[in-house]
Amino acid sequence: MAKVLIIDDDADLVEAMKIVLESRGYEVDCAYEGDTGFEKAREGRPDLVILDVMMKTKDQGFQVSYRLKNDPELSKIPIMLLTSVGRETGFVFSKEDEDYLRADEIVEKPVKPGELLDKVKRLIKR
Amino acid sequence: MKARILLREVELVDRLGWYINIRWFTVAFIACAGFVARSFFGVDVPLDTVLVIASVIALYNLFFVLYLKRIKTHRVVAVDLPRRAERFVLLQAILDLVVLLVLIHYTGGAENPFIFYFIFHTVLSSMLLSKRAGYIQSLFVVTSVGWLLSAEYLSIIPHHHLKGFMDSELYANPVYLTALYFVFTTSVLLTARITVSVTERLRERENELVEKSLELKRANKALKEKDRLKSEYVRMVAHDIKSPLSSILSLLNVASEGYAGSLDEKAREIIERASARVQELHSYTTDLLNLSRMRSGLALNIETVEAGPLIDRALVLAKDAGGQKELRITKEVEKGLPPVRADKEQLLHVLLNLIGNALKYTPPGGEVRISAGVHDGMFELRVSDTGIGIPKDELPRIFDEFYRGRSAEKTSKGTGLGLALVKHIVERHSGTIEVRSEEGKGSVFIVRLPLDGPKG
Repeated sequence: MAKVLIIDDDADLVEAMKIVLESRGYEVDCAYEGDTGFEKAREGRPDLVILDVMMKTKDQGFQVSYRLKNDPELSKIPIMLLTSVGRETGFVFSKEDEDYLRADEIVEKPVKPGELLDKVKRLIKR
Repeated sequence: MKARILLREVELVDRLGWYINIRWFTVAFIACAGFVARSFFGVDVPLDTVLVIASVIALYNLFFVLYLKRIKTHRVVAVDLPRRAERFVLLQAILDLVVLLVLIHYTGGAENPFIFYFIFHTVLSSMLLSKRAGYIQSLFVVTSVGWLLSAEYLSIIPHHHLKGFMDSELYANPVYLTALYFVFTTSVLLTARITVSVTERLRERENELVEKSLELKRANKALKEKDRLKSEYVRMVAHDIKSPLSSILSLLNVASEGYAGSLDEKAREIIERASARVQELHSYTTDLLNLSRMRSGLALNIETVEAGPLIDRALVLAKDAGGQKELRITKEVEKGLPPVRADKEQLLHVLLNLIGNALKYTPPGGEVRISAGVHDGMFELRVSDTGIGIPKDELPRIFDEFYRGRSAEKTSKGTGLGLALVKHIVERHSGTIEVRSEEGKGSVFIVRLPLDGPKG
């Protein structure tokens, strides 16, 4: 079954997504911090990474996505970014979107289970 | 304290110019009076002497004009400007005094009624000089005139009798001469006293005014900073509240949709109720966060924005949020519409809010139209609907923070912050927002932004 790695410092949000994904049989691994997340991606080779934009430092999510996309072995793994409605980071979500953001999909918080499952399914199929 | 000096400087330079200008009139007056007295009244005025004296005054006044110009241009350098200006006034006053004295001497001395024009000299110098210098100057006038009259009376210097003006010899009448001098002296001194005290009061008032306005400016600045800090504080609190709300909502969604095991009907209903309330709180916090972010003066992220894709994205997000309703939604983007310089996220928020409202307040079967174009050189966004409209008396208040219209209260839940935020965003972009609405027929919101981004 497909493996999903969730990188987010909010344990409750991670739990919510984990329950949803596991209910559909996905194998879910979690990391609560950017560096650990990157290591887990290298070791576990997930089929999808769900990444929070804003963790302890405001740009950690961006840094992780940048590192993942620039690693020749990991660059193929699709990334789904978790963001809040409305800007909070002060980061631009648009400048040549794909290039700058380095995300394949965006999910807005609070997470709606149906939407999450749809998007995960679409990304893993690719 | 600094401001007081500044005021004094401006005032001094202003009044110096005024003083110098008056002297031009004096020159003209002296020349004319001499001419008229001689030609029309047959008074034996020594016209050449009068004209020479007038020319001397004109000459040194020209020098003063040039000097004042120099003071004005070197204003930044002249740290001791007040002192220099005071010396400058003193020099002028003394020169005037001496020259007028000479003029009076050659035109009859005590016989010349123009001797009382020394009062004008006293007024001017008392106004421009410091209190002490003003008094000294007037004493100086009184003594020098006294000296002139006595010297002429005692024949220490010759007396120039004005033929054709006064037949009897005034200088043969010491009692009259004394009385004249007494009246002259008291007039000059009294004038000096009055002028100095009025000037003093005026200066005090001016200084008070400057201090008050400075105080006001400081208070205003402090108030603005306080307001900014308050917004910053609200922003931080809202932000910290929003994250956990987000997680709570996510967890409640998971539970109510049965992903964490099946729920009986009652339990699900309770969770859904809780979820709805948290959702309300979440929207409210989001609006508050955005509003305080705008108000705390966070910098805008200005970039080039294409209207088409932005409207598409807003439509997707608004439909997601508003649920599905049978509405005809159309989008119109003017052909060849240039991109606008704006903060994309914020502009998206504006659209999202306006479209969200249009969807919310338009009954099924209605129409919502979004169009983008250029109007009078401004980028223009229009969101129009065929919804319930806004009553006339509510129109002026709909952009106020926390204001909610009567029908809005009835039909939906909201914070009353949405349109306030929209207005803030538009204004931060140096743009305008306008609303036209008719109850029962629909509303149009028109946003106009400068194409090349916010001014300043």
